Amino acid sequence: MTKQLNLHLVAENKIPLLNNLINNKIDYLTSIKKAISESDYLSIYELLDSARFNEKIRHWQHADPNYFLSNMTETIQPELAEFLVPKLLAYLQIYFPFFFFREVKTGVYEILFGRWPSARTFGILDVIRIEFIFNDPVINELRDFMDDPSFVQNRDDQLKELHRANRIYAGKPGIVSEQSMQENQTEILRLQKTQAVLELEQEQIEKHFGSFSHFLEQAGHLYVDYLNFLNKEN
Amino acid sequence: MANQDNSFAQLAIFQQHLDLDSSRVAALSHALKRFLSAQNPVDNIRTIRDLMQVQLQFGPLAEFAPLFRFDDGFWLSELFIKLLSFKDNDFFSTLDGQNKLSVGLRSRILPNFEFIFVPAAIAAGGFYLQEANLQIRILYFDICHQRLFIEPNGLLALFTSEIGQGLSTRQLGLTIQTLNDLAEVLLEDQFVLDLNLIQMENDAQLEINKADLPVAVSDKLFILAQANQVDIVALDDGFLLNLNSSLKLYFTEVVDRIGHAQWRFRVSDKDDSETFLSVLLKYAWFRNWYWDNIQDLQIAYRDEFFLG
Repeated sequence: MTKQLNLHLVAENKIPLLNNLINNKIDYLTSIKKAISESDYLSIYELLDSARFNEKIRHWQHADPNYFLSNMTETIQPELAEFLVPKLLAYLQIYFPFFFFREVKTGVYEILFGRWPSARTFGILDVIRIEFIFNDPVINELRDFMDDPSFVQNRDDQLKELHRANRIYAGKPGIVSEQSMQENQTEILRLQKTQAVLELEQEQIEKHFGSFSHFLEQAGHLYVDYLNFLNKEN
Repeated sequence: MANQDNSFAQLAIFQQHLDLDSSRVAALSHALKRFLSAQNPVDNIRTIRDLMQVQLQFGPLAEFAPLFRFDDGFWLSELFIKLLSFKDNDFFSTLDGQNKLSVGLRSRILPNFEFIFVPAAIAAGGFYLQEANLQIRILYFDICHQRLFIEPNGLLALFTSEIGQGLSTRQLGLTIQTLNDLAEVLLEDQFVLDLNLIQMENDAQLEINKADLPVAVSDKLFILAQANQVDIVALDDGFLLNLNSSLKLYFTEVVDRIGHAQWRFRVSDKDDSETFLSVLLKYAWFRNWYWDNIQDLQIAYRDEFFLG
């Protein structure tokens, strides 16, 4: 009997706590709703991840996270991303003009480098976290092409070898030689196409960032740079 | 005495020939007079057709023949000159260096070329206009069935020949403009036209003969464009080449209901003055790509009229 009474008291004591927790959630949702209706992008991003915002933008050392609140937005994040993306894309068009974005499903944006044929997909733009999530093999290939002379040399050697082999095949007419030549020709075309794409990517990186490392560094600062841009705009 | 009788008999025949020739020449003269006084394109075409008909019906002159070197080709040349005059275009002339009439069409714009009409050895009849020395056919003309078709490869071959290569952009432009002027006048008489790669309108589409372009061909275009620093853009339905700030070349496809892709070229510029031919002539890398892959890229044309 005493035990039951104690439990009842404990439960009653929880009411203020629960009220408080629920009020926090209501306050949070009210705030984010207001920020959306006022197109207050900066506040939206702060509410989505206050610890990151305070740390990166306000430079607070030990900011408390608000995941228990921002988790509530998880189910609406695709639509939220669609709301946030036009502003972000307008910014990216200025600072990363060679990137183009294709919505592959609601709120998910694929990054295309360039508008030329065979333009490569570089990864995904995380609109909620304001981050480029690059596809490692693709970006590594560009880094090697731009920064590793042996990578380019290997490509050149490969091409030379294929051309040399074809000259030999041309002197030995026959079905096998013709097939081998055709295969080599296809490989030459593939290598040339890849090289053309890499050259175009390099051209753009050098034009806008000077070097690959500077490009990567700037791409890594997107969250801070974009929010500072919004801050200045406000 | 017998020999004398015989010579009189010969002279009597000669006199009869002269009579016959005179009546034919009078008819020809009459037809020519009507042509010279014709005031509009339709009358000009009709009167030259009548004149050619007079020549055809009467057959060769028996005695006057050495005096008349003007065949149907000559009359067609004269017709072209007269039709172009309606566009204030004096590009062609049949006068030679000594200011005498000659059979071929000459132009001070293209001083090293002479164009002559030769009968087309096809069932449809008609004539080809071809460069006399290089024997390159540039167009097919049929005055009876009212047709003018450009031979795309002929024009390209002419302008990329050893002599043609030396021509300036202005010379090429005036030539293309002249053929367009001629087509415009012929339209007044309901001619069927195929101007093919010399169409100047920005909305002119040049379909290629074959469907389903091999990927390797478009890959090569991309590689060459990049190597020649030409901006190439991927479109949903093909490619756009920004050749310069005001000249664009579209190479796009239309997919039919069973999935076959029909590819086409379109040239767009701000003055509506550029043509696919001028693009081919200006950009050697593009022309080489076109020639190297001609089996897949041949622009559709009235090839049945250019046999042989």
